[in-house]
Amino acid sequence: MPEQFLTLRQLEKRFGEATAVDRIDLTVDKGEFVAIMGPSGCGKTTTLRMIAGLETPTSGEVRLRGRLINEVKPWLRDTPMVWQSLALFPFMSVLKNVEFGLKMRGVSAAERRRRAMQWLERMDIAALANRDVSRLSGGQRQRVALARALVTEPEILLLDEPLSALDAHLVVRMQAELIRLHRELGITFFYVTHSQSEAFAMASRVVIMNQGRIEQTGPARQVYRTPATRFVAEFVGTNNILRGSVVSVESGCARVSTPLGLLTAVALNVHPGEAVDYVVGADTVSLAGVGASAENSVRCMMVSEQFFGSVVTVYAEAEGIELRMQKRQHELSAAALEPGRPLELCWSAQSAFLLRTKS
Amino acid sequence: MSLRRIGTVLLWCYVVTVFAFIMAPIATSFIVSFNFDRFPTLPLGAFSLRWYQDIAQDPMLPPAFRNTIIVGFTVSVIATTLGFAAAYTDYRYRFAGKQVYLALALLPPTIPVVILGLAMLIFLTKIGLFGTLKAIIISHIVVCLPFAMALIRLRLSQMDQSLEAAAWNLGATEWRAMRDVILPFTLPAILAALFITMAVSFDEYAIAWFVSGFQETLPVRILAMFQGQVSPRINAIGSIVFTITMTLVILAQAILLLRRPARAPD
Repeated sequence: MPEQFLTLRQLEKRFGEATAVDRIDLTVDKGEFVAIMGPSGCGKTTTLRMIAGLETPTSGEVRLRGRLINEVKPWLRDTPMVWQSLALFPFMSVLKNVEFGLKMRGVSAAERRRRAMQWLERMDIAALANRDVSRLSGGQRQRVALARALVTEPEILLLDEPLSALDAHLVVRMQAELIRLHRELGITFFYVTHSQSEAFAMASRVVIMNQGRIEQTGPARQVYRTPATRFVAEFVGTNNILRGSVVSVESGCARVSTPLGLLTAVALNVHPGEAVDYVVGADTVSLAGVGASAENSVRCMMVSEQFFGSVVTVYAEAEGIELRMQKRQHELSAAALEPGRPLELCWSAQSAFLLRTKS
Repeated sequence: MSLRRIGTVLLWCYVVTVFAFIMAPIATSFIVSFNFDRFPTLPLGAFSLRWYQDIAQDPMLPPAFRNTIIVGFTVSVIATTLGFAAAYTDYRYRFAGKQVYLALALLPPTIPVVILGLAMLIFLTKIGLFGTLKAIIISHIVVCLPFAMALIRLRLSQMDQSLEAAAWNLGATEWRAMRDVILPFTLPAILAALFITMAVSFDEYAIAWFVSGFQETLPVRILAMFQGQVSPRINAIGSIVFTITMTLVILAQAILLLRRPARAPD
């Protein structure tokens, strides 16, 4: 049984009338890599700032190793953070930046220099030790920020969208680096991001927040495959979501009446007559005749396509509703895909699922 | 010549003319201060330092100069300290009536000096400080503080919002963060504020004239000399004062320009 390292209980933060974080509960184990993900304004950064002590909770509890730390001043916690802006001290050299945390803890000059250099070497930037931080590339600045936060050997590292300022190719490299660091250090990483690709690529557990509340938490795969709410279904992955109502349920399979006709899906805890959202992932949709199973098929009109490197998203329309299909490029023959031509999209009942509509 | 070229030439002529108008009186004063003749006429008379020697022997000038120096140093240090505190308050805190607070802090330079001088005179007389150096110092702090505050506020506005919190996050107490992060970051503005406030105090004569009594500062003394008689000594003093003031202002500018703001985080 892993130790309950960080506990948020009924944690709430209000700014005047606005509620930024709305009584959330979350437990993080030691050594976990947790990503909090959500659109801007969902309360993810405020949650992070409460853990760091930069915001005081309105109510609820923040516990670290069981100790209530709601009111503990930020400088008395060991919860270093990597900032979105990185917040490197511009008038200090790389080495001085990294030494800062040790200096504040009263570590002797020689010792902090030794430990800072160790971290610079570990982050592969020892050659830049005496460089001014304003004269570093984006990736180098990132490494300095990481070294500065980790030099005190904390048990938890808070990361606030640290990769948002980097070029796409650097993001992938830094992700690999963060995963390696997390594995080697074995400490808790608490990562805030609005990017699902970042969260899914790195985190062992993903927390989806919306309007100050936690919508769903779980391993990336689970959240991606079985979103618990319509918000999550819209936020993660590329899902097609149709409003409908359950017509019948037999042997684990539900028939649902949707604007696109009767469609089938896996039935879990739904009853005939219930209003539901019918969800099918764009990557489980195929062209008719290509895939084997075709329990559901819809005739539609191709609208456009979009390339993301090796993946293609095809946008089609039926009855005024947009449908999306995501396939690897080599799986699609270009000939059949031309905007304005009719398409038949199909998917298996197994790949579609239902979410109860909140009423 | 193309039309464009004519335009450029005209523009240059305009710029040169403007600067000539601004600089001509000062330059004249400079040149005439080295002229031997009592009344300057063209062509100029022999080169001479007699007016400078003259003022060096004026018994009234050294105390005035000393007063100016004392006032200038004291005012620059206090006004910059208060200016920093005011600017930091504005940077760090959100509070009710903040707009009023800012408006009040930046108000003094917009008040006509005669009114400010008179008000100071009445107030300082009432509290028994009229005619003392303290009176001049207090008045000048009021006038100089907004300049210091504006400079430091500008610098703080260039600071990454999370820099101070980052220091706390790394274990710095509020005082430590102030010493190790905020002060080093604002240092160029603080130095510039010291020089600018000193220059403003050095130049200010109207309010000083109201409140100084017998503790004349240099500008007040110059005014007194000027009222009695037009002597070429004025040119010599003017040249010295101008040189000192400009040196302070240029130093402040140089500090601000050399220490350019750190690259904004993207």
